[in-house]
Amino acid sequence: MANSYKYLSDNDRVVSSTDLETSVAISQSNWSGSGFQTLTSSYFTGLTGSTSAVRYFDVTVGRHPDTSGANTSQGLMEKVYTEMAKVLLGTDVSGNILNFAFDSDVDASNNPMYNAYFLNFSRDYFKDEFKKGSFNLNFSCSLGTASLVDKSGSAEVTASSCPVGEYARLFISGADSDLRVVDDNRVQGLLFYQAGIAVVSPTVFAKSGSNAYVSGNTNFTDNQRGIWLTIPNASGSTMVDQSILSSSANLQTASYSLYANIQTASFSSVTEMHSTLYFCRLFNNEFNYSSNPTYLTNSQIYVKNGDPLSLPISYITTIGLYSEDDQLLAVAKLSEPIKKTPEVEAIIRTRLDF
Amino acid sequence: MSIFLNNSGDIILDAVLTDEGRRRLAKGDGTFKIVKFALGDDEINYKNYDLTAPSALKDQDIMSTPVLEAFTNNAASLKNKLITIADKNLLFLPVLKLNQISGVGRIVASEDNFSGGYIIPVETSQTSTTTYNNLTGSSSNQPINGVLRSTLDFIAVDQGIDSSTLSKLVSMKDAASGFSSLYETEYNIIIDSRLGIIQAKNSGVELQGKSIDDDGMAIYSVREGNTEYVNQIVASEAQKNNNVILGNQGSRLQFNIVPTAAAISTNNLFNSLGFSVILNSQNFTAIRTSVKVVGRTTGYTLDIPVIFVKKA
Repeated sequence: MANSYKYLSDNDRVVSSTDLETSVAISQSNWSGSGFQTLTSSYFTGLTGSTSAVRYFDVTVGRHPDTSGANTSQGLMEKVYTEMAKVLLGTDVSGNILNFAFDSDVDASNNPMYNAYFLNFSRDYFKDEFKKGSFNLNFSCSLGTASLVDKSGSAEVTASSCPVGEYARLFISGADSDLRVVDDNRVQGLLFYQAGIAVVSPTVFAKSGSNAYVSGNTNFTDNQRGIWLTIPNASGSTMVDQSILSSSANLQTASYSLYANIQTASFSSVTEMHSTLYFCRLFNNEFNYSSNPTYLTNSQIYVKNGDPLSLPISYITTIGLYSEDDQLLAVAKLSEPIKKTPEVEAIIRTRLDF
Repeated sequence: MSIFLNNSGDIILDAVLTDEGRRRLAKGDGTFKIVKFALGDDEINYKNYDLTAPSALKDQDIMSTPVLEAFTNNAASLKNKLITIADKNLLFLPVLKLNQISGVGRIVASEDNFSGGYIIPVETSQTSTTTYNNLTGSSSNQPINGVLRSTLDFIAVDQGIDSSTLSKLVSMKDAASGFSSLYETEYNIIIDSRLGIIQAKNSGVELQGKSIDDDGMAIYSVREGNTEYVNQIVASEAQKNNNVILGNQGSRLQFNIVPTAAAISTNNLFNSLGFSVILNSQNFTAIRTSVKVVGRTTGYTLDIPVIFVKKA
């Protein structure tokens, strides 16, 4: 019986999973000049729809509900903080929303991050998740430069689990002296790998000295913990004092204070590829003839040239994967034809990615 | 002396989903299930095999044939499949051929714009004859060649070894012919489901069991045993003048095509895809397409031109 299909057995299928990593490096030149706009009912800020701009991330700001302030923006900031904490960290056993917290290197215990910038990266760039240990965010302002880095993978730093996957702490690195609010290698942010969100403490910009935000600094009252210090303004040339969160401040101004001072961001994205390998096994006595109209001349096989004892020959250019009802569901092409005769066997591994 | 092992016997390819594959995945109803594979050689022209060249060079041109990137339209790929046949000493393979002999199958049209195809008047045969009555030749009131209208006007496709070096009086089904394993017992008929449906030649009943892909192409399957469609060609002296195959006779597929209710009731497709035709000073709008017949055993394919015609 002749046939043009061959059935695949269970042994001809293998399901596998691999991580596809892609390096991403962006700098301010990628988004500068593209403007800044308020999105989503004033909660988020991001790039305008300029054709030359790529929307790598949005920025927003949140503040802990315990901190003082009564103006509208502060109300928005508290809503942002609560929403982000609820989604990213979840609640405790009593149903209370957890707080973003610094590493215990900054405070001995339960040291909330009272204010936080949130950088929500586009999934087009971080894909399924940030690769652990690859994230690096560089700032530059009038006080100097600094970097926030993810050190996951090093011996002393491990990722923690959370409702949206895993997160790790971001460490300050290479900060100039004026920006050195805390020593190098201290936590100033969090990175949620699968959510694609970096949480950055505004204290990354805090000037060293009496206003430094460090444990035990008596210059801070509880109410002042939510007030930022000496944050460079949008142009980076002058300072904005703690009034940024006072009655005259708004969420967009606060967001822009971070946005304008990010110089570069680099990371590796990870795409989890699920593949099915189909082993198409061609035995010596299979697929040696063709239904190609050029294969015959008056029903006679052209390549045999009238000699029935010469071997049939066919050439493979395409592999089709079919359903039971003969519908072509996937197709693969060879880069060049493969000659098939009764003297040839081959295994064509056809991979279908999902 | 050791050399590197040749690993060319194991080839790794990346497949892409066809549009039908994506549609079935999106449906999520379990119809995306890959159970078999087939091989194709659409780019290959076997006439480029140089019969006079030294053996190592005979297929030089074929092996250098550029291969196109995969088409994701499921109907556009693997038009020509490779076939598995146990006997490696075959010199002939069967083909499919239109039978236009009176009483067996309708003759194709010869008029300009319709030449070589079958014409389907798009109107309800029981209630309207406007298109049909105007598809007449210049010197008679009879419909021109190729018009399919009644259950007596049907298409016939013969299978067999089309070589006069083999006897016309032998059936492929006979084991003695050496071709019994290539006798077609089952056919697929593929047609644009927006335009036409397949009917039995005598009863006028639509063939059941079709599946329709994402592009609206309907695949009908029919096998021997359904005598309204597939029958063994009688390879006898008495019948030989009804057979178009020059050598051993295989099976015969006969069917009719009628327009769909949607094609009759609306002009959308004719407005977007149609072209204007004037026949004997009468204006028509026509859509040119084809019906594909595929032998399930050999994979041999025959494309039959079909023109759906509506009186303008």
